Amino acid sequence: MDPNGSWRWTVVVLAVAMPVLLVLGLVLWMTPYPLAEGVALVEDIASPVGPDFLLPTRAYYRPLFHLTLFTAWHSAGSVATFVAIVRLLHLVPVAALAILFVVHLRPKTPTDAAAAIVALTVLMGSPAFLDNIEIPLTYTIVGMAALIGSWVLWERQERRWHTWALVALALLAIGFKEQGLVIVPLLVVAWWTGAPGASRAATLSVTVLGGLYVALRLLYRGHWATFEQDIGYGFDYLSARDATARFGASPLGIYAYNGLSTMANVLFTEPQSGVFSITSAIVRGQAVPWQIVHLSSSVCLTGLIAWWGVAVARRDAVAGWARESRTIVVLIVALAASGVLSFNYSRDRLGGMALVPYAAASYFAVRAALARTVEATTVGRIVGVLALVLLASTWQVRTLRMLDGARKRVADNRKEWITDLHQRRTDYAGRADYLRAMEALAPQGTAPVGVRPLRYPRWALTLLGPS
Amino acid sequence: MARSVPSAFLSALLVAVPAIVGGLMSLVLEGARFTSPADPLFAPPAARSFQEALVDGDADSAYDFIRAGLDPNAPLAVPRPAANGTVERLTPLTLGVAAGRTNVVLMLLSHGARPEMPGNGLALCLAAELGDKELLAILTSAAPMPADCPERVLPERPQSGGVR
Repeated sequence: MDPNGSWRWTVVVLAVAMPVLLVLGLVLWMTPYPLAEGVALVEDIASPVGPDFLLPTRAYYRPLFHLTLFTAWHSAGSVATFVAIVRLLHLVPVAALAILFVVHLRPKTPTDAAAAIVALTVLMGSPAFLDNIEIPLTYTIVGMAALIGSWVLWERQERRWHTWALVALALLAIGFKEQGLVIVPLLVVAWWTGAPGASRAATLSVTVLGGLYVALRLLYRGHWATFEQDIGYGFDYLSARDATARFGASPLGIYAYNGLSTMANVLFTEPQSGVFSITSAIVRGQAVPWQIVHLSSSVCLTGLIAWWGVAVARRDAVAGWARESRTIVVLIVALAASGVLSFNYSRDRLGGMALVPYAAASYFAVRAALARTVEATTVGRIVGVLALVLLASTWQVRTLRMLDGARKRVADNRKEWITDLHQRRTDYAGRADYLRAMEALAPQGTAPVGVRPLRYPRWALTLLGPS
Repeated sequence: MARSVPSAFLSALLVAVPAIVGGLMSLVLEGARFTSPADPLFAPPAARSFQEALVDGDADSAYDFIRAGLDPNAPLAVPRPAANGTVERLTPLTLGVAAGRTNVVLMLLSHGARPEMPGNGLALCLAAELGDKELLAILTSAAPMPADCPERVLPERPQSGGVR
């Protein structure tokens, strides 16, 4: 076995992941451009003169995302071409994320490859992944791809073009969504811990750009609502209005709750959007198998990562910063930054930027656990391997659920176009741009689709859960 | 140490098996969807008729009939078993209201059904008679309530596998 086998095991890992990526790509390609959210976005960019989405006057500021859609809509020539471009804008970052993720891990042995395969299922099976591949909302998936791209660069020996590439990737991530700001502290961490490709120039440039962005947002903030959307709280939801009435006078506590919820969702799958739904089901004695699968797989994996992290921290406290200890710090900082940025409300998708280092950490943790089993006694080895196979199986089940969730979106998007046009024509009668865009997009939305959620047998559904 | 190499490989392979199996299964299932799209694993049983789809609340299937050219305002022959098999002619909108299918009514209104047409006025009268506030609100947002609603619109509910 050649431990320095160049790209062989990287190719093996990608080959194992290829079926799921191909199916996901097919499903995303066949997803109708949605009515809800989608048409409003086209309305925003429909005016060919003086797009106002470049000014940070609204609570949501995604200039590069809007500019991309604007360019696609006005240059496409037909609705079909526009929809194809939007789908491509989803497929490319998803593919880039998966490929760069494996390239970053650089598996060189069978053990590395197995750990990388599990890490990829963690990346794709986590709720933040599914929540971030909803067409046409490419916001954070672009940021996630930019993050892993940056990470690949800062772990490699510095080249002259690294600085420009890191700045470009940071701008791309921030320009698509505020969550892209997570890249800024991560690059600082990378530089501070001696990452070979994180130069002082790149770190300073990205930090200044991040600071300018935050200053610009604060300058134009006007009046930001205390709560932009409904929030989860404990075992239930509060409407934005109720939350404002209850916490508006002193929102810091609930802001902290929202931030911690996002962090906990990445680590433990609970809570979801701030609601402890699985915990509630367990407490009421109504938990179903898929909820146990989700909760236990996340808890066990996070425990494994903690076990690995403590060992690495002790080792590198003496030896100095290395790739693994850097991953721990990147994970902690990414979690904290994602938490801070989701102060207003918690959603699964807001943990997307922290999911990347979480999945990377799972690679090292599983790899370390596999290496430990090889050194164990026969009984210990059998138990250890079985435990890891069980862990890998639960995450693979979650990846299959992700695929079915994507299929369900295809069906749901079409259903919207079939049933909701009348209500929209009534509700938005005064918005000519909206109605024009809606009627133009309706044919692609109502066209027959070849993808639906699989009608699994009941026993399989109890494990997979609702898609 | 020589013994640990095959052991390490075997352990790694076992840990990778769930992903290999899961990936292949996904690919095979998607491939099977293209070769056997009507298989129960991929699609529910198709509605036998437009009427069945309306009454069952299957807006997707009902829409497929309209997409294929069926007039959403043309009356349908609805059998009345309790009245010695006589047939009543009801518009799709009226049938949707009678079956209590809000999604079907919304679909019809979204794709060409016009509540102001003579035959469809019965749908508004029926919604009022049934006390279905949601459906009545939807229909009256599209057309005014007819002035001449009959005293009783339907003596019995249409049935085809699923009614309110």
